[in-house]
Amino acid sequence: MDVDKKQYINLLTANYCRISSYISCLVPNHNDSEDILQETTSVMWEKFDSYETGTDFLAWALAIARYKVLAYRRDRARSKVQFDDNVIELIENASKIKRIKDNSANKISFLKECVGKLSEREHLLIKLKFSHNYTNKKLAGRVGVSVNTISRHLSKIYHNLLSCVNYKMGASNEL
Amino acid sequence: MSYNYEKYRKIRVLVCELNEGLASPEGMAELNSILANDPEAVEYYVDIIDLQTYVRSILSDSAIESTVDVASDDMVELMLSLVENENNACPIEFPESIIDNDEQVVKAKKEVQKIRKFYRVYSTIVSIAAVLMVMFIVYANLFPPQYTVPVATLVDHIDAQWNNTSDKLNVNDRILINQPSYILDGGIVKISYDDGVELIIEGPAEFTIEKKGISLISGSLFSHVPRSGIGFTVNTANARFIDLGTDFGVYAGSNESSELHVLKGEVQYCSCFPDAKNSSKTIKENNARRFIAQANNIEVIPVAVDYFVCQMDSQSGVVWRGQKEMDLADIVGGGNGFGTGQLNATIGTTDGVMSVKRRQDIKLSEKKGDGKYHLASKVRYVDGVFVPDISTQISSDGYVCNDFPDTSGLYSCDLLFGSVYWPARPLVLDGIEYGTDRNHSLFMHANLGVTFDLDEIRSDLKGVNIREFRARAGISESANGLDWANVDIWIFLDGELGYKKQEIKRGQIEDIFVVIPDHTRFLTIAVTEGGEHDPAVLTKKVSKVSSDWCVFANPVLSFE
Repeated sequence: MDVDKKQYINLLTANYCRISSYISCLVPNHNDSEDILQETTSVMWEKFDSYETGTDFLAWALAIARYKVLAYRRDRARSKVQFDDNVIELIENASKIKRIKDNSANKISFLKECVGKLSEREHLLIKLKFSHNYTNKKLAGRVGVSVNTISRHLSKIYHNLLSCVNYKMGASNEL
Repeated sequence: MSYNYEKYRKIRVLVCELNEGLASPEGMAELNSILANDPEAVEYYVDIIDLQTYVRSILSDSAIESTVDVASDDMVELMLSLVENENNACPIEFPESIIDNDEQVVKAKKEVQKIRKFYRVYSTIVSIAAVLMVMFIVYANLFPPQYTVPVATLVDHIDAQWNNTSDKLNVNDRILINQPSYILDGGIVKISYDDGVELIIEGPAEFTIEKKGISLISGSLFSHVPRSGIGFTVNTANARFIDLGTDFGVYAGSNESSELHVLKGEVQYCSCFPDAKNSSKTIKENNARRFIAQANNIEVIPVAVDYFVCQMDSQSGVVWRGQKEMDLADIVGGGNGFGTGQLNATIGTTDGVMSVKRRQDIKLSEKKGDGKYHLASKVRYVDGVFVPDISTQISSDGYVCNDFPDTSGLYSCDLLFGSVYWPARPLVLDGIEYGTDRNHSLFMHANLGVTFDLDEIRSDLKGVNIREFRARAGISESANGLDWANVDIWIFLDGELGYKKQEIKRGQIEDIFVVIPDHTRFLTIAVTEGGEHDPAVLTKKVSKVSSDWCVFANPVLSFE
């Protein structure tokens, strides 16, 4: 593997979650955000020559991601299921604040602990959802309950995980 | 169920729908509306999406070992049974037996009537309870409960005057949210939030404290937001400022205009004007904006670098507005370096004591120094004073300087912020009169030395970088006996010679710039009698220090 590619992969791996999170915040439809993420990483590799080693890789990557998100929004300008422009700006700023405040290493470690505390049923549900990429509809069909029931369970799991991680991060900040 | 819980639950449900591409235009409009009007909701939305991303990441990570094989049908069945538990409420069972006996029929009818009566009463009670519950929910949503929790502490103040004695906050008082506004008629207060945000508010001002911010109704404040407090918000009547990790000042005028001055970092602002263009932007350091409600306008204005009080300390009397220069003459006058010193103040050469005098009492009189270093322990930032000679201690750490010449050891006047009483002879350099309220100077008649403690300054003005000592120096044009007026000027940094100029005569003006390296503690300024060649001195008609009226005009420390 040449040096450039190795460096690119290292940088991308270290920042992948942040780039993915940024895109998902602006485009919460999972399939669409996955497409944008793929397009973004593809452009990033094409333009990696223009990246100056030692500068802020994440900022460089997010600039490309932003361009892709804007293009996506432009293509769907007539859709009524889109964030308003002012809301997009608010989300971008909140996302920026979060990136500044969060310590990713701690967050992943805390999140692992919190996931470990889920009940067997909850763990199974998010495993099917995120690891096996089941849609809520597919989950509902397999389990034989309504999509709303699945959404309600997932919603509760998100809330509990978020509370757990925030609690742990808050406690670590006080140390 | 709390109001916030319901709002956040709604956000989560809408996120689930958006994830799947199942959101309706109405649901999207509702989410847009929630997020557009509530920064905390935006933060929560971002948190949820971010959480999903990281959960996805760690669940595909082999380091997380699942105790179950989710691919197996057995596990899907297990999940099915677990989720179905929620749908498995037991149905109400009715007896299926048929009653065919008359007596039993009558008895049964009576039983049925009893049961019906019971259910009528029961259903009435349930209906009333349901109506009350609906009313409660409506009320709770229209008027969410006002809870009060302490979120900040008043940590210091200088001459704080509160409008209402019942509102008066003392040092260490905790400050609650959802309280009526505080009105500060005068003085300066320092408030520290539990997450590390520090505010300095200067009266007159009116404000209310919020959980992660403040509403500034009028007045000015300076905000220092550490990493832990990023997102701190200042609301004024027509704008909202969201900190992105920075130092900034906000002024809220009584006419609904407000100003944002970013001194460090970045701040996002949102104007509350109905049709304002660029109503939400991020601005960077050294930029400022004015929000004018009447004109529905946002103006670019110069940043006010020395308007907001950015550091204060009641014990040392420090009130720093971010000025980039500190006046050493003001310090000798007992001031904080920013204009609080008193004119015609001296520091005694043989006792280090500062005293303010009537001008007519400040006269020249030759005396012999005692060869000792005298601490000026009660003059903030001044370490001590001395009469320089061949081997002289020049700082409180005991450093002895051997660079000075063998002087007469005479001095004629204590270190002075002001001018001597000699009505026809003011202190003049390059045609400008010094030692006045308008033009500050240090008067250092040979032989005299003073040492300033820069660490003490750094301790009071946290984060300040002292870069340079600067002054314009020379012999006052009004000095008598100009032919023999002759001085040497010396500047030392921690005992190391940083500047030396000898044989300075009348009419010769020196612009002194001495770069101060980081961590330098002592700055020493000394004036000695120059090499004397004039016959009047050589024949001892006049002393070696005669007419050596050395003036340091505008002596300042400059900050980065």
